Amino acid sequence: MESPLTPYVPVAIVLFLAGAMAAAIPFIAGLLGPRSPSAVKSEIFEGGNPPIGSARQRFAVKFYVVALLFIVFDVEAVFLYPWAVNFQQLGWFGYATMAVFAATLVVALVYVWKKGALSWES
Amino acid sequence: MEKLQLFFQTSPVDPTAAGQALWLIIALPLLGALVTGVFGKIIGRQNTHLVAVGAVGGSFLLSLLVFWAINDFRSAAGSPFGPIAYAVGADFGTWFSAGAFKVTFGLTADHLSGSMLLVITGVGFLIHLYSTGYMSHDAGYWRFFSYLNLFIAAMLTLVLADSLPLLFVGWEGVGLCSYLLIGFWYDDAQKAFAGRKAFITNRIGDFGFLIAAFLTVLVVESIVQLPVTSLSRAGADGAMVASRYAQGVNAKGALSMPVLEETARILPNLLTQDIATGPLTGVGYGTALTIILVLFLLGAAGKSAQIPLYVWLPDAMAGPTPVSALIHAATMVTSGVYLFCRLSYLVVLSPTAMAVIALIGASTALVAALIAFTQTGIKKVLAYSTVSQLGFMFLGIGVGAFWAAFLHVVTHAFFKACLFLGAGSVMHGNGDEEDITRLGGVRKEMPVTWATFLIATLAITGIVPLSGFFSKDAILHAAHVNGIAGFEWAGHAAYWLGVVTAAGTSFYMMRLYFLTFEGPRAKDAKVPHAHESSPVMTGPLVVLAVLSVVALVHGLPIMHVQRGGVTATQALMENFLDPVFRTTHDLVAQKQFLVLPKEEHGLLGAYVQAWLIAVVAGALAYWVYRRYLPVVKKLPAALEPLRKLSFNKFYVDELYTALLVRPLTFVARAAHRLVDAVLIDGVMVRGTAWVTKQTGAVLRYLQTGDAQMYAAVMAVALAGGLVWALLRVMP
Amino acid sequence: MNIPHLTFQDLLPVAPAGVLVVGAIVLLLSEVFLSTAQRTYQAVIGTLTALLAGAVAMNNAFEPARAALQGYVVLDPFSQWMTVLVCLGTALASLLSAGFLNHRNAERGEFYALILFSAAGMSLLAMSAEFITLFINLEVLSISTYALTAFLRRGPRPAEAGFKYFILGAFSASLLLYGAALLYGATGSTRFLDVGLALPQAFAQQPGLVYAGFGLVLAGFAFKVAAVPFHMWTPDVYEGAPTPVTALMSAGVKAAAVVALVRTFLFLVKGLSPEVPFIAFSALALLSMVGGNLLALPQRNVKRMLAYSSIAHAGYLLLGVAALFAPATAKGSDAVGLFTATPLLGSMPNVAASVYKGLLFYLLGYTVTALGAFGTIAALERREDETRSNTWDLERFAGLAQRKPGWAAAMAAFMLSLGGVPPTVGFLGKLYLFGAAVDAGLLGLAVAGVLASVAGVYVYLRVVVYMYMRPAPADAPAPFRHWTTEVALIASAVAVVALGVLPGPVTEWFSRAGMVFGS
Repeated sequence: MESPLTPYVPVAIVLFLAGAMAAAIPFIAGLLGPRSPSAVKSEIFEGGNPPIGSARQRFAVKFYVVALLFIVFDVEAVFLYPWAVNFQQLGWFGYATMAVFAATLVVALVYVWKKGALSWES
Repeated sequence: MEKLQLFFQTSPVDPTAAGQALWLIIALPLLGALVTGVFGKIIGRQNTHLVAVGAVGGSFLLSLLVFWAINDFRSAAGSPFGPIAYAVGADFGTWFSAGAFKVTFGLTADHLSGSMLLVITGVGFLIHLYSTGYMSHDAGYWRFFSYLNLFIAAMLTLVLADSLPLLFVGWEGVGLCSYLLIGFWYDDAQKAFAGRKAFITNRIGDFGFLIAAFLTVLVVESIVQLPVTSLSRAGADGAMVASRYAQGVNAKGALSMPVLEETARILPNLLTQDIATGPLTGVGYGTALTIILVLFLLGAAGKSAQIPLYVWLPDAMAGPTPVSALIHAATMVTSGVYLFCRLSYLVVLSPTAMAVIALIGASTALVAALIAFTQTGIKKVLAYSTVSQLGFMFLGIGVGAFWAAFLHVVTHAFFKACLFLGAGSVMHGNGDEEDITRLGGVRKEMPVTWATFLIATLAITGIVPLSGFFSKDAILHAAHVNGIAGFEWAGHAAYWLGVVTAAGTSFYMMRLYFLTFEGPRAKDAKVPHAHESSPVMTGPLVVLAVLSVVALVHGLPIMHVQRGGVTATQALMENFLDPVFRTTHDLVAQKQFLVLPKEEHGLLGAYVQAWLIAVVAGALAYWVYRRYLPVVKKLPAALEPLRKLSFNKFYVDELYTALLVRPLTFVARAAHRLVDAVLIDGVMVRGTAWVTKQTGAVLRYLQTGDAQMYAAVMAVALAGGLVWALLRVMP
Repeated sequence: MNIPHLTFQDLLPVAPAGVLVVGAIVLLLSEVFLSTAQRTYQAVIGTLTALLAGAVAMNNAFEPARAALQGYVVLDPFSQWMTVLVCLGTALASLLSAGFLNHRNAERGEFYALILFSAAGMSLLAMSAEFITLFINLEVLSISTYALTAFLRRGPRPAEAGFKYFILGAFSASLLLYGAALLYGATGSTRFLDVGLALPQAFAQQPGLVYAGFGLVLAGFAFKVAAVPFHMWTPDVYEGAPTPVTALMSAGVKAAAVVALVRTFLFLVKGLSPEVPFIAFSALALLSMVGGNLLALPQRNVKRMLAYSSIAHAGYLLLGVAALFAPATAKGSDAVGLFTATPLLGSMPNVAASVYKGLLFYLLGYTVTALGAFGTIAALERREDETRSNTWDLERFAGLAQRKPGWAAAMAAFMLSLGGVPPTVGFLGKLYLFGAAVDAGLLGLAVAGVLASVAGVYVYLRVVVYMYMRPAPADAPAPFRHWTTEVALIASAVAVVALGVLPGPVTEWFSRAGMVFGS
């Protein structure tokens, strides 16, 4: 039986497993974990901000800088990972390419650092 | 002698390098103009003099080197039609190109332009030197020297250009400088007007030049289109001629001199054919050539002050005297003659054009001489004399004596510059007195000026053995013996006009001399005693006077050449210019439009004849102005109307005003009121402007500043376009 | 595994962009490590980097046309000459910015770095031959210019302009991306070469899909070129951006977008009847030429007027593009319409070459002229009246000829060049471009363009009239003095006149641009 969908079976399995895990973990945590509720603890938690009030809240711009930097280096990791896996085959070509890529990011990091974007209080 | 010749024929600089460096000759005075014009006021009078004179002096030294290089037998300028012997040059890339039409930056110095180089920079140098003294009190000295340097640069561009468009740049450049310098003292309304008159008259000529150039392009392009079979020229078959011609036009452009020369070599067999392609279809090549040459004549008449456009030159004397000497005697006004010498190979292909040129030249010579009889301004007489001498040069061109015409250019440059500078010196020492009837007796007070002026006067009158004699006599001789095919009468008429004018020249020049230098001092003279000018002014006078004498060697028939088995005698200048006119000579021999004498006449008779004419006329002037008039005080009544006619320049200015200026002004005013004010300004300009402006104002309201609306407009436009495109494909 | 094989030849086309990026990084670091008070040196670094990149590109321009980096980019004279023009504009813009920012105490290395980044984007955009590459480079260019637009972020106008530009730019980029996706769906490739090969078949099966893809891609480009009706952001953004940035946007961005547009459609249209794209280009050209000039007419705000004028100039460029895609019509067809091609003298084999030459020369002329014109405006702006409404009013130019004859003369040269009056480079550019259009037979469109540009002359001459014939107001501002501004303006003015008188050498070089890869 060769359906065109056959190659996607593993994907379906992964999807199922991921969904099952997501559903199971909170359930199991609730089942097993000890419970001692207090007023503070039972407040709805939302990223450090009071959850009730106007939706048009202003955030400090520092958050965005951190978020952006996180994304940049996260993306770097996304690129570095497949390269690392194929390091042998890619050889010096891959090495040089990644070196240029990483060097660019280092320069960016130096710039951001010197600009003072990494110090929370300034 | 052999060794001397070898010395002159071995240039110290490599001819190719000399060609590459030609631009320097132009660049030096151009830089000088820039420096003096921009910084002249800052760097002071002395430094301005240094820069201006130095620039021209440097240019002169370079010209000497180039001149040496073109005498080198190794020298050859590249051209698509094979190297040109005895010339150096270089191509500095494309100037501009539009479709098939192309113009390159090419400079070439051959024996013709090389001689002009020496005249321009040499005489120019002397006159710059003289000006440092003459303009020593003028506040606008830096402006003056800037213009003067700019003029030299433009004139050098004119003679070095190897294509008509580049030549035209120089042509317009010298016109501009002439205008600026005539009106140099622009706060005098009359002088400013004289500048405008010169400029406008020249523009009429330039119009002719431009149309002629345009027509030439059409002719050249029609030849490129011709089938191979109809092309041939002496010494080459059709296919080769055609391909080489097309390549040449492609490489150098239709208006470059090598292409024009090759055109002249091709044209003889086409003259009776009609042009088959392009806007000139149906016109014969011969007719087209004649029209082109007559239009070039109009252009040359403007620059070189020939009938009918000579009226500006006498008024141009409003400018400072060194300007009159440099621009309006020695160099710029001869550019028309230079142009025709350059295009001599085309001129000899049209007997009609030759006859027209000869007659225009001869009549100009005579009319100007007649006017000069009665003028009282010292510079006015010299101005008309210049017009007259230029007429002689055109006469020479018309009868095919190109070398003689050019020799006259050179000798005239020397003695007329000397005369003008002498006149300037006289005025300088006599409280700016210009009226010769209020001068007199200057001889003893200004000995150097007197001596040099006398030598130059004798040279221009054609007294043997001064240089003017040889050049003028060569022209008259050619007019006498050469025949223009079909127009022999024109040659004869021109000859007799020329002889009469030669006598007239002697008369008015001696009149000028006697009234100025001899006799007692006039009672109403401005200053009781004249003073001699400073050495910086008399120095150039001496040099120029010496040159007006020694230039005679150019006219001596001392060169012997073998031609067709016969040993012929040639004047030095004729021999020297031989490489330039080689094509011309071949065409004359091939086409016989110009019938040359079978054998040389004895020149001695002609010499005696010319000498007699000059002496008799000069003696007559002596008798009239030194013996007769001082006693009688009055002309016979019978001659009075003639005097008045001549004194008022035959009322030509008034005639032009009545015939051309007034009607044109009237038409222009009417057109302005009707067409301009009502139709164009009112209906078309304001009307259209109103409509478009209103539309724009309405469209403006769409620009609300609302970004969502902008996006909506884009989306709607895109959707509309897509729907339209889809409707086109969906049936 | 298929490892790409990179050679030096592959890196050659992107070398100018590489130089620009390195220069930008140097500037970024200089800002954090060397932030002295006097930062004119940053402008000098920016200018020198741009000139160096231009020199590299000029060297490349004499290479034979070929594909590089596996067909993701191409190396051909057209794109390399365009890079030279962009670098020229960048160099001038950096110089102009030095004085402008200095006057506002806003000199920052980031500014010049962004200028260089955007120039790198322009250069790469011009040589992209694959949709994803194209899109990324478009974004490199766009994001830099968004930031530059809002660089003086304290004022209300720059912030508004930057935001508008960003929103609408993102919108247009998404259109382009969507179009590319549709074409990918139709052909199965993003490489222009393969897309072009597969398109005829795809078109036969699904013409609607192909046309939708065409239309969306075209809309994306039309936005960057600022062609009517995708132009509406232009005046607001151009007015709000720092004036040297406006200059760079009007010249460089437009140039890069036109080249990318030509490249993309040359590949795509191959093998198809070009009639629909031709009519689309013609319509854009006509609308832009007429609309730009008409909208400029009532403007008294000179900066805004120049923004509309840049729309009109985009129209002239699109006229050239339309000429490139004009369907070959047999000689003798007598219909002369706005959207028909009627060659005068039979088919002209060299239309393409003369269009490329015309486009490049026009862009060269527009680059030096626009940089000069905006530069003059920038020099007359006063920091303290940024918020006033009459900052760029015509009145500001009144009597400039008496106060500052040199500045007035330069501005007059720029205005005449924009209007296409000889002997300026603008005249020759129009001559070459309109000449190419006539060669291709676009008589109706060319006539419309000439008429529209006549209306434009009025707009430009009005500035000259104010400078030379109106008395100066009492509070007339004097241009600030800064040597960089003066150097840039003198260079532009000299170029405007010199190229107008002496186009020969440059046109000779540009004639080689006839070698466009894939045409």
